[in-house]
Amino acid sequence: MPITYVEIEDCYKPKTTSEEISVEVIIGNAGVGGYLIFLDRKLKAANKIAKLGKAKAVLGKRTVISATVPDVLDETNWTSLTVVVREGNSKTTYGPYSKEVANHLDTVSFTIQLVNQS
Amino acid sequence: MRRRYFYALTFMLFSVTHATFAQNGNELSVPSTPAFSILNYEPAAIMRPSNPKELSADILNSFDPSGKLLLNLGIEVAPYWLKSRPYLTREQYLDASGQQIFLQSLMLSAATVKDSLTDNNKLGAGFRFKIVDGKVSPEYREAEAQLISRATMMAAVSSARVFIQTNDDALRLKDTQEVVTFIDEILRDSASQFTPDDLAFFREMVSKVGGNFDNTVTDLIAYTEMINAAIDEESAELKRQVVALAKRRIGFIAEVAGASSFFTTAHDKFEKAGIWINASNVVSQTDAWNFSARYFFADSDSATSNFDFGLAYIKELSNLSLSVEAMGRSYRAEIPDFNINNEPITIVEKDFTYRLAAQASYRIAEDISVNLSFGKNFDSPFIERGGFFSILGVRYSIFKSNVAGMPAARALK
Repeated sequence: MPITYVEIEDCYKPKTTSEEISVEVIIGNAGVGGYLIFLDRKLKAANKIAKLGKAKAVLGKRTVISATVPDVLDETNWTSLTVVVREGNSKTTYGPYSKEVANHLDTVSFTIQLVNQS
Repeated sequence: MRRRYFYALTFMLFSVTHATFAQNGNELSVPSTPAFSILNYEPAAIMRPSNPKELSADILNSFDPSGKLLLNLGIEVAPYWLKSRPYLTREQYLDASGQQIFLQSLMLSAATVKDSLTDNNKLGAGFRFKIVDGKVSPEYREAEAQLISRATMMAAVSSARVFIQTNDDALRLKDTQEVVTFIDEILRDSASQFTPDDLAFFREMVSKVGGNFDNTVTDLIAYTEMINAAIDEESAELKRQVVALAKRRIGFIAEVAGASSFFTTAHDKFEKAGIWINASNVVSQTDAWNFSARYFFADSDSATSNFDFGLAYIKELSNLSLSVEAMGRSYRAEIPDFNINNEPITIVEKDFTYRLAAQASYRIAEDISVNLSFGKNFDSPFIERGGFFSILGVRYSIFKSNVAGMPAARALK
């Protein structure tokens, strides 16, 4: 059961200085998976929404989202991941990043890096 | 009179077809592939396209150079799943209702076959969808939680890749020891996701991979990939369990299917059509009540119709499946004939009959089961025989591992 690695790098520009930044991960295609959200090497959340703090806390650092999605649905071999960064009323969506595995029960590892810059 | 015998023979064959189904297992379920069922035939080659490109290729490959449909072909397609559904979460899928459950369960099927009796080519087309799909069991939730835990562990391993490749010296993981310590700390920091057994399992996977790696980026990346491969390999059975348990829903389940067949040579003529409605109440992983109704209509030279309805109780143990069923059938046949003055008339045969049956199926191996059926079958106006039957048989599946499984258990799947 091969594992496919999908690696994405992007950037995020905080919109305010006063609002808390949170990161939500959506595993699509009715998939089951596990994910971790880091700010640099500091683990911020496992399988739930991460609160990263305000702009000052994230600038110059990387938000790293690492997710593993095994294909456990007979109906499709598609797996997908969407990352949503919220800051007050502002919402920035990354993805959806989709990958169709060659065989049922294969696994996809998604790693998304967001460089937080002003 | 010869003509009447021909119609009687046609009706008899129609009835025998259903009697044969009856003896093959539990009658009270929606066929998994209605197009194959209406033709009473499983094609040698079945195409299952999973994207629009494959679908168009399969359709094109179904015709010969002169534009005629190839025979002995089958196709099954789930239109909703022909493209990626990136915003459909697991919970939305598992707790679907209304339009969503129709869309995600709709399955279309078609097949072609040569009719050995008339030498005509036939095309069958069908559909199947669910209206209600019960809910997942506590056993499923347990397996899903374990799989999420394993996937999270693999996500921790994958995250190390980022810090192996980074140019930031303060963040970089420089050797296998630092990689393992980093992952170990993540697992401990997210303690709510992992049990002590999970942590021991991770250590075991690290030992399995060994430490014969250089401290180059390439080697360290390969190291993380090997740890993930080891975890993934050990999780294979868990994945299969999640797939299987997700299908074994409990509670109320309702499903509808329909199919029709046509002669494609000569006159493109309608042959027969059927509709199935099935409602199950799966009380537990091993017990289910099943109500089913179905209507068949055939219009070759004579018009025949059957309306069946019935109730079954099914019990599935580890290798043994038991079921009892009671069915009623109302049938009607309109047969054209000539009276003694050689004037055309229509003879109408109609009656009500019933079937009572008990079945047991014992699985010897993955693809082999021994089946015993006995009871009273439907009466037929054209076949003179005792209504009671008892059949002992072995089912062996060459191509599909689930075919030889226990037929009565289908309602529990």
